[in-house]
Amino acid sequence: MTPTHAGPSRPRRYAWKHDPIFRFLASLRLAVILLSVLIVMSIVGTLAESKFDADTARTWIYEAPWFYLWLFFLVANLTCSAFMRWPWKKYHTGFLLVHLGMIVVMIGAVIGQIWGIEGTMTLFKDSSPDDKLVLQKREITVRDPDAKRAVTIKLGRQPLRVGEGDALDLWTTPGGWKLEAVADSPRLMANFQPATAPGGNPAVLVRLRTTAMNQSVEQWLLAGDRNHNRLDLGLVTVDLARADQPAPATGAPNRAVITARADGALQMDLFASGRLVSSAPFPANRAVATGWNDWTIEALDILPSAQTGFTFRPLPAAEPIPPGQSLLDGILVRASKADRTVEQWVGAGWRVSLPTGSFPLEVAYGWEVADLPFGLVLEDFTVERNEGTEEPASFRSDLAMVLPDGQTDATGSCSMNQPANYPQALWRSLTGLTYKISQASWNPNDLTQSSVQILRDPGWLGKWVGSLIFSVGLVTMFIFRRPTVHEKSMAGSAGPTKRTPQLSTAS
Amino acid sequence: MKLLLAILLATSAALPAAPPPADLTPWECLVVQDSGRRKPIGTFGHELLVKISGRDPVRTADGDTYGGSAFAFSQLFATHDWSNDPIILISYRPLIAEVGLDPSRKRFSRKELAAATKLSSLSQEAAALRQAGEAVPKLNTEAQTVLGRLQLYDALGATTAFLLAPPPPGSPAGSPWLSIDQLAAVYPPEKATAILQDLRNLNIAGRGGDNTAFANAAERLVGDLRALNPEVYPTADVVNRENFYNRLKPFDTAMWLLVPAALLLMAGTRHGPRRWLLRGGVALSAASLGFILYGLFLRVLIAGRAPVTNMYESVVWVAMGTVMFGLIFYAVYRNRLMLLSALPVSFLCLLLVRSLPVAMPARLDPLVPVLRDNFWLTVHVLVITLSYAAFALALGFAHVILWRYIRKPQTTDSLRPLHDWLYRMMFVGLILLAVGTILGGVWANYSWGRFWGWDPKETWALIALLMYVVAIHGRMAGWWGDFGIAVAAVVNFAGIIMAWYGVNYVLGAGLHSYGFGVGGEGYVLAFLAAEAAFLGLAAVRHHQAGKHHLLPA
Repeated sequence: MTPTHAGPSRPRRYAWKHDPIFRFLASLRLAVILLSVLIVMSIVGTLAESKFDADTARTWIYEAPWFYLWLFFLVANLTCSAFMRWPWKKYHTGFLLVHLGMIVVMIGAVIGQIWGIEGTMTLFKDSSPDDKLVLQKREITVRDPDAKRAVTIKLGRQPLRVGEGDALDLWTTPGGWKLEAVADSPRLMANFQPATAPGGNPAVLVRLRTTAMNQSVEQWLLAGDRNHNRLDLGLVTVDLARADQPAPATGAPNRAVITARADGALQMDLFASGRLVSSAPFPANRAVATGWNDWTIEALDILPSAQTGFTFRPLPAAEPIPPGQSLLDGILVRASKADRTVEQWVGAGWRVSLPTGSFPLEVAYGWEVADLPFGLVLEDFTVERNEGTEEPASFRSDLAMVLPDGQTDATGSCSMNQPANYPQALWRSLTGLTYKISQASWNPNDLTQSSVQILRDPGWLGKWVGSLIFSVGLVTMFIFRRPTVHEKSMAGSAGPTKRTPQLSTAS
Repeated sequence: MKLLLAILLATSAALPAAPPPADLTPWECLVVQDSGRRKPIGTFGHELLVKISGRDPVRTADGDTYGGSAFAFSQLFATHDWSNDPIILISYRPLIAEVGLDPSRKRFSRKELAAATKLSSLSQEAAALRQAGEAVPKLNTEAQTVLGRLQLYDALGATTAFLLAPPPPGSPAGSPWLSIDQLAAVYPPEKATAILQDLRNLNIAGRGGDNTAFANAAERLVGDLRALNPEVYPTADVVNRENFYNRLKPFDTAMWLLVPAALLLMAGTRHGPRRWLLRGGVALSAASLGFILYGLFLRVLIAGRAPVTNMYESVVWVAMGTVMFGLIFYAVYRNRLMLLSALPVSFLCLLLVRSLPVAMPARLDPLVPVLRDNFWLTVHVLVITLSYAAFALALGFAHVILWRYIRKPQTTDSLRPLHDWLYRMMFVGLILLAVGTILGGVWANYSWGRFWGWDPKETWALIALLMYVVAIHGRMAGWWGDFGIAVAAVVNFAGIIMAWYGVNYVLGAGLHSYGFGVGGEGYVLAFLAAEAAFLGLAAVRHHQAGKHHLLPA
């Protein structure tokens, strides 16, 4: 590079600096406008998050296309204003480092946005390796088992909103069914309702009744489903167990254990005050006396092979949420063909079958799922408490990373503030070319499960290196700034000084 | 055994009311397990009083004054019937009127509140609204708060509120402590009986006003309790350290030191005989800084963690940083205005935490999981709050400058160096805020698995940062001049207040929820209004002086 000379020859040597578009992109005016709008929009974003929720703020502001465009202009402004100072002088060092650092951070952010992956996973102890990462993006999948075809419609971060009379077309199946999303609700209530499926477990609709106290309880039980294999009334429990898997222990003195035998028939063991009092077949639709006062037990319906399923209904605004229940958001799906119409609510995260014939159409509404190249196993989950209280002090998940061939490749633990990395290597941690597994949340009622957040961010290198450059630049600007006119005049004679706008570190 | 306990309690009930012992120091060696921590009973009593009453000490209807330690004593041994004393706080005025109590008061007795049946119906409404997922009006949430205070007060009537005895050796780590009722079930009779006897002696000695007997009884009690499980019972050193901190009140001392420091700085000059006044002011400022640092140091020792994890500590930290930066700038530039402008800011910070014990509790509770064991967290928070201090110093200094604009709007050219210094203060803040925010990203990447996620706290830190960046760039562009940069130092501090206080107390959203709280809105709004008025006045004066153009000439 030839040394440059001050003087009138400079403008001609760097003609590109006089291009009006370049001058505009490099201008301070643009910088201040860009930053001011960024400030205002960020304020709006935080208010939106406070008023609505984080996803709203992200959808409309932080992750909206125009916001990215705005950041792109900011990067252009940072770059052009740096080149505007060409040829660079020593005193430009701090200024250049600050601008370079920010550009590098933004590049890192873009790389992370495009090639990064982020999601959560809820792991259960003693389960097989899980490699399905749930992403924060919604989707609807419609499957036609008859035609063996399926389509997936990708949605944004937010729950799907369907305006009145503004149905969203999903798919027309090869069989001629037209599928639409016709409504949405943020207040869906799920009712457990096992659905017949091949290769499943037995399910029984049990009724417990006492005439003396005029009470009756009905509930579906599904063997092998840890959340739905027991009817628990405190002093009385009813369990439905598979023949190969004994029912879990209970503290109740009176219990009934229904077991599905290999031939499909049901067997019931009755315990009173902790002692086995009878063991007999348990046919459908016949009330059996239990021996606990006048309680009777009856199987109202039996499904020999069923899977976990739910039906959903929107809860009217006036109706309070039943204790122990939480509401979901979801959509109402309509299938129509000629004069037949079928409608069903689908809660977020679930799949329902539409009764359209012998091969019912399936609609799943939920989150996008990514496959990890390895499976995670939760080997142990521990909660440390603050002394003398039930408040958690910290959590730890002990994990094993299992390869597709079933080999455990590595183990690690993640606890609050201490993530686990896979694969483990320093250079991978520094570049972000690793899966970082962080403790995300827990279920106070079930300490055999743990939610982890998994992140792979190839832009991490840019983010931290850029941050470092930026910080060094700021400090450099502060220490090695250009002396101001005022200081020059203080250092020199006490002669009259001319008032100029010049003050600062850069420019 | 049962009989002895009955004797103990019966003795208390039968004994007449008595004033608290004059010297409670021996009693304060007793340790209680409460809220996940073992603490001296004085701390326990103080925290109870602040929760119930919003203040310590409280005054009885008869005019007696009870501090936290005396309050705990009177509750354990029932030496005083509190049911008629106005000690339960209702801080929300409309609620007082709503439930039909005397609107000229803020504290009411147990009996008065028992008569105010509207409280519980308001509280039930709140629960119903929350269940239905609807917004709960402030009237209802405040009613719930007051009922919470009432429950806390009522719980004190039982000895089970005082977990005085450690669990037996061999219990799992973190086991709950025992109240005196549970002693007999867990420990051999001779040990339990001895402790009950000690308690009885303490009770009688405390009522009798015999200081020596009281001190002896307390010492025996503490000795016997510690002997139950010396591994778990805190050592005398640990207990004494916390009691020393409680008595020292280092932040109050630091606050009062700032007053003479400011007066001396104002009266002093750089040269001549009055230079000693100036030096005295600097020395007192340094002493004040020393007290704050020492207080923070003691808190770190007691709690075993970094000193900036709640609003109370962060405000104290900012008070510390402001005086520190004032002293540093004074040392570099030898301009007393720089130090002088730091002192009122710091004073206000310390006054604020002193006046708002409910909104900003000084408690040393255990940290929530997300804040534990992290180097980056500690550095990140300390750096960010230090940047608030630098901006607070710039705020104070801008006031000095703007005050000159108001008083002598014609001769502001002589203020040029002051503006340069102001600029440098803001730059220090800018560096710290930028670096602190980046460190926050490093921590978030570590703890939450992402570098930046537009969390409201992050976003507001960025907004505040950009506000100062815009101020600096606008100045470079020549869009505003000296006056503008002084105005920016004041206006932009509103962004800092929003990032610091507003996100946690007003927005109440996002992942930084562990710092959430309520209260103090009135103070903040009054502060912002006063600042707006001040800026308005300065702008009018500046305009009148014919310098209405914000641009430099």
